[in-house]
This record gives sequence, C-alpha cells and structure tokens, in this order.
Amino acid sequence: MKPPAHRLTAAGGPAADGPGLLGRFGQRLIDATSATLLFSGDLSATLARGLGPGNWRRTMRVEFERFFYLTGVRAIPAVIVTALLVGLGLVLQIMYWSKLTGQEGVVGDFLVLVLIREISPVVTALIVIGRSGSVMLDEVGHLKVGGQIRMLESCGIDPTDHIAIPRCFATALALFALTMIFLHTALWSGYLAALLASLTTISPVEFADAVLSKMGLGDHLLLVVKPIITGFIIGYIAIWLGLRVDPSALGVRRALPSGFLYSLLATLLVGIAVSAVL
Amino acid sequence: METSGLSFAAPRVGLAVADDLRVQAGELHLVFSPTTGQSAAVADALLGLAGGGEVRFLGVAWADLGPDEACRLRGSIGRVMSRGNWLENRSVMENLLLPLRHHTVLAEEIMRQWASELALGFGLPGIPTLLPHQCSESDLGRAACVRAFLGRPQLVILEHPIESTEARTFAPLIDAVQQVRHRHGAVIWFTSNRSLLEERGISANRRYRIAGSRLLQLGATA
Repeated sequence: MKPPAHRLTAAGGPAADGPGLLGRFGQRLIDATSATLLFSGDLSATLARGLGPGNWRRTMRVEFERFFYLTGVRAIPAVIVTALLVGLGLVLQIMYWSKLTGQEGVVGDFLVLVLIREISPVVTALIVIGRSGSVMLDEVGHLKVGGQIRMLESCGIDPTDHIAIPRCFATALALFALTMIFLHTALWSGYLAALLASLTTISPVEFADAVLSKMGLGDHLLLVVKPIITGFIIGYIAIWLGLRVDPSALGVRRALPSGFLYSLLATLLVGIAVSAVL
Repeated sequence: METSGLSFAAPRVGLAVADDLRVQAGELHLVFSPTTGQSAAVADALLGLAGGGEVRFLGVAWADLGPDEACRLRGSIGRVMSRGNWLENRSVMENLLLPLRHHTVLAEEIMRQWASELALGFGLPGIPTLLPHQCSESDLGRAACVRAFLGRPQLVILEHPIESTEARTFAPLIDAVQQVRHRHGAVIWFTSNRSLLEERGISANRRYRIAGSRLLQLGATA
C-alpha cells in the first residue's frame, strides 16, 4: 500500500518544494557569515568602549578585580603544575638532544621558537578556556535565563558595561600574566632538571642569556600581544554565547561545547595570525 | 510617563496592546494582572526594553535616546521584578546598592545609611549581608522593595511586590508608595490580588486590568 505523500515528508524525506542540499548549505554559509560579522562588530564595540577614558565606573572596576582574581590568581597552581610538566618534558628534551647532537648553541633558538612563541600562549589559553571560559559562559547563560540580565537593564546598567567589559579585560590581563608565569616556570624547571641530570653545565645567567639573545623585538611583542588578544576573545566568546543561550533548561548545557570549540579555534587562529605578523 | 500604540509580547495571548497609558507625577496606577509574565511584559515595554509603539518617560521617547542616555534615565526608575531580582553570587547588600554604585558617586556610608533606613522601615533588622539563597523569601521580597525605593526614584514599578511576602510588609509598602507620590514621583503597581485592586484604602489614581490582549482602565477614583 502506497503511503500518503505527507507521511514521507513527516518521516524526514525530501519535501518537493523545500531547499535542496545546495540551498541549505548556502543558507548555513550566510548564517555563519552573518554571525561572524555580528560577533566581530560587537567585539570591536566592546573593546572600544572598554578603552574609552572615563567609561570604567566603580561597579565595573569591582567586577574586573573579582574576575581577575578568579581567572588569573586562582589559576596559578594549575598553570605552574602544567608548566613544570612541560618544562621537564620539553626543555629537558631540547637540552638532552642538543647535547647528544653537539648543537648546544641552538638551545636558545629552539626554546624561543617552540616554547616562547607557540606553546606558552596556547597551553595557557587552553587552561583559561577550561577553567574560566566555560564557567563564564555558564554564569552569564544562567543570568540570561534567570532574568537577572533584564534586572540589570531595568536598573539602567548596560550588560556590556557590567558583564562584558570587566570580564574580557580581566581575562586578557590574566592570560598575559599566566603566560609569563607559565613561561618562566617551564624554562627554569627544565633548566634545573637538566642541571641535576648533568645535561648542562652553564650557569643560570648564561642560560638566560642564551634565551634572551635569541629573542628579537617581535618575540617580546608577541609575548604581550598574543595572550592579550587571545584572552579578550576567549572572554568575549563566553559572554556572547552566554547572552544568547536558548531560554530552556538545556540552553546553557548546549552552549558549553560550542563555547569550548569556538574558543579553541579562536586561540589557534589568533596564534597563527600574530605569529605570522610578528 | 505616557504611551501611544504600545504593544508588547505577552505570554499566552501573544501581542498585547496598552493604548494611551498616561502616568503623571504623584500618581499611583494599579494594574490587575493575573500572571507575572504579563506584568513583566508590560513593565519591560514601559521601560523601553521590549515591545513596539512609543513610550515617553519625562517627556522623552525611549526610542529617541542613545543607549547611555536611556541607561541613565532608567537609573531613576525603581523596579521590583517578579523574577530575576538577585545576582546569586553577590550578597543581598551588594545587590541592593548596585544601581546606586553604578549611577552615582555617592559615598558608601551614605548609600548604606539610606538602605539601612529603608530596610528598617520595611521591617528588616538591617541590610541583609547574606547571599540571596541564604535569605528567606519574605526577607528577599522586602529587600527587593528596599532596592526599588532606594535613591529617590522618579518612577517605581512594582510587579507583585507583596504576594511573595508577608502581610506585615503591606503597611510599610503603602507608606513608601505615598512618600514617592509626595515628592512627585509615580508608582505603577501590578498585582494578581483582586481584593487589592478593589481596596478603597489605596488611593490609586487609575486602576486597570489586563484582559486578553488589552490593558483596560477600570475607572479613576482619586
């Protein structure tokens, strides 16, 4: 018996007048492009407002301090432990293989290229995404669903001012500070391990000089610019998605994986872009 | 505050309309609203946060204002919301003082003194310093009233303020409403309590009820 036509459509079959595969792909492309442009515009506006003189009210400063503590200070133990492991694994390996191949002179080059330019900013960003990005998205999402965002608006408090700007700037500054802590912990723990394993005989000053002499202005700038841009974007992704969660019981939970993925992609893209320029 | 052609998305009934709602200085308007969702939708529309049509506050339409000006003007409006009153990870005191801290440069001591006086007036032993989830519903209801009346607001919007609190809050609330009116502020009070709507002791200038998709005036009494 031939089933009625509408049952075919209801079961997920192709509707005669629905968009085709190409149409759906095109629509998704347009949606994604619109969302990216909207996100970029909002991000730029938030950055500009945060940089504007006199825009930081006392409530925003309190929020900034609070989130710098939560995102930066409280992440120090996790960053130190990770940096110790990276230091023992990576720096020690570089020094070991350099000695084995008689290339001790290039230790500084390797460390600058691998640890300072790439690994430190990315690994620290991953820690911040995991520790704070998801927490921020969850918090802002629940503020949205629970009506507290509307309460702030009713009181004349712009959520961009009270929520987005302090958190984004705090995340940016925290990521910069954590990257510095990560870098120094990894470098010196690796050096110390190499010293104890008799893989090197150079003094700490010579080791520091070997690294610093290989660093140009671009490397120094990169160490500042990459974490700050990455941190700001990580913070903004969490807030942007949090403010747009579906107002249902599962809305926040559904947004969390997207937040992690977008933050990860943004970290890698910013890393590539900054490394290419500097 | 006055509206023209105001429409708002009310739960269940879809798009609702409130024509020609005009609230003058010193007036109290009582609105019977059976659900908190409808009250919130009207209140949001009056604050220029949602809905269509034109709403003018202090002679200026929300739509004509920039974001900063609109926020500054909303800072002079107190509101008790039916949900979402509290940031859960801040103490009730921080919640209470947040609007004043944001909009003014008043000293902490002055703000706390004002809040303490209002809190005592509403029967609280002082400003609650606990987190919202550590306070009773009754205390939170009264604290929400404290925030709404704090800082000499020019308009106070009360969404079902005493339905979640005890009856002893009623007298201080009426007193606070009268004080706002005496200093030429206005109050819009949403209630789902029909007896409150018919209470002759409340000298409301106008009484309304939300019926279906319209806000209907029941008649002037004062």
